[in-house]
Amino acid sequence: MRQIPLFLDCESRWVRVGLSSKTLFISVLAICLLAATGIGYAVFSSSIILNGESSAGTLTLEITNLLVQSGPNYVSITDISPPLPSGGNVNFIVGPFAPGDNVVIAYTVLNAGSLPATSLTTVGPSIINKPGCDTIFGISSVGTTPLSLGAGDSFTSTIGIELHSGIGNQFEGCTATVTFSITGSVGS
Amino acid sequence: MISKTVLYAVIGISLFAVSGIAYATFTSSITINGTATAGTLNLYVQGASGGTGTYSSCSWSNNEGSSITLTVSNLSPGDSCSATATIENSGSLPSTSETSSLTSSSGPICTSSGQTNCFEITDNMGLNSETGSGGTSSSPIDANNANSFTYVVTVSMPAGSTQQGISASFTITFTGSVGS
Repeated sequence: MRQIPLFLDCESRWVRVGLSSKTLFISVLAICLLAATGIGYAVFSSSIILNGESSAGTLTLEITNLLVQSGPNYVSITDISPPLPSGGNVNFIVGPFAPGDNVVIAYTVLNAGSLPATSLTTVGPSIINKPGCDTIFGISSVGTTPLSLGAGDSFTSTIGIELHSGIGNQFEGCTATVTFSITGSVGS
Repeated sequence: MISKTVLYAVIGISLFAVSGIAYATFTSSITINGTATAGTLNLYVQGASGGTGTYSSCSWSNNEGSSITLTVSNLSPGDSCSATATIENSGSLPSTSETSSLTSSSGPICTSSGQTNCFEITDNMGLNSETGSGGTSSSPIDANNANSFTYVVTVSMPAGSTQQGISASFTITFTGSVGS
């Protein structure tokens, strides 16, 4: 065991100690460090933390209403799927048509998202007659659609479908599919 | 000097970056898929009921719904047989107008007013064999509904006529329609 003649105390004063233990030296050093840490805790402090959260908006177009606006009273819209309001693909059946009938269908589009659709583009309407049914069905009219649609806003427009006049019994029960797409976009 | 390969690579990356900007837009689409259906009009004879005259008898037979046969027997001069046919529409469209016409006949059918020794055919739609007019109606037969029509056969024969035992046959065609 080795003698240590001098030792530096916590207040930087040289003291002579008679300790002969390395363990004692390390212990005193540890106590000094702990004391220094204690001084740090004693400082008054004040902090401000800003927690920010950002979220991307949404653009969601939905069909909220679909009905026969004009036409014979025996024509109706049935089998709407999925139930409205709905986005994506909306399917329905309209009929029955007699020769010469012109049926105008009104649909309402809602922007249910949080962002405006700064651009609205349409494709169609197009019509495809079932094979064997000739071209008996046609698009008779297309309503206007806006060029943009604000968040929470909606518009109603129309599509006219007609069954040509003068056709015979061989076309009873014929069908045709009508497709119309609207795409809204926002951003760059 | 930049080599061609490097130049192309830079251009390619730039184009990709531009495309990336284009893809960065938010979009939402809706598609309306409608199926338009032509309806059907299907008329058939649901039933018939016959009356009897003074001495005559009326009977009907229903020929699988597409036509009916009226048999009148033992008519005497001035006598008539009135019978009613019920026509049903089993289609999806209404029949908005109906017509009836005498489309064929054989035997002594009265074709002019005052003619005797013949059978006069009429119905409640205005058909009259003597005047040659057909019957018309604008009362609709809605889908899955039925209307009744009355047909009358009268023997126009003066009393004491010797033309006993005469017979005739006729066909009345009933047509319903919708559309233009």
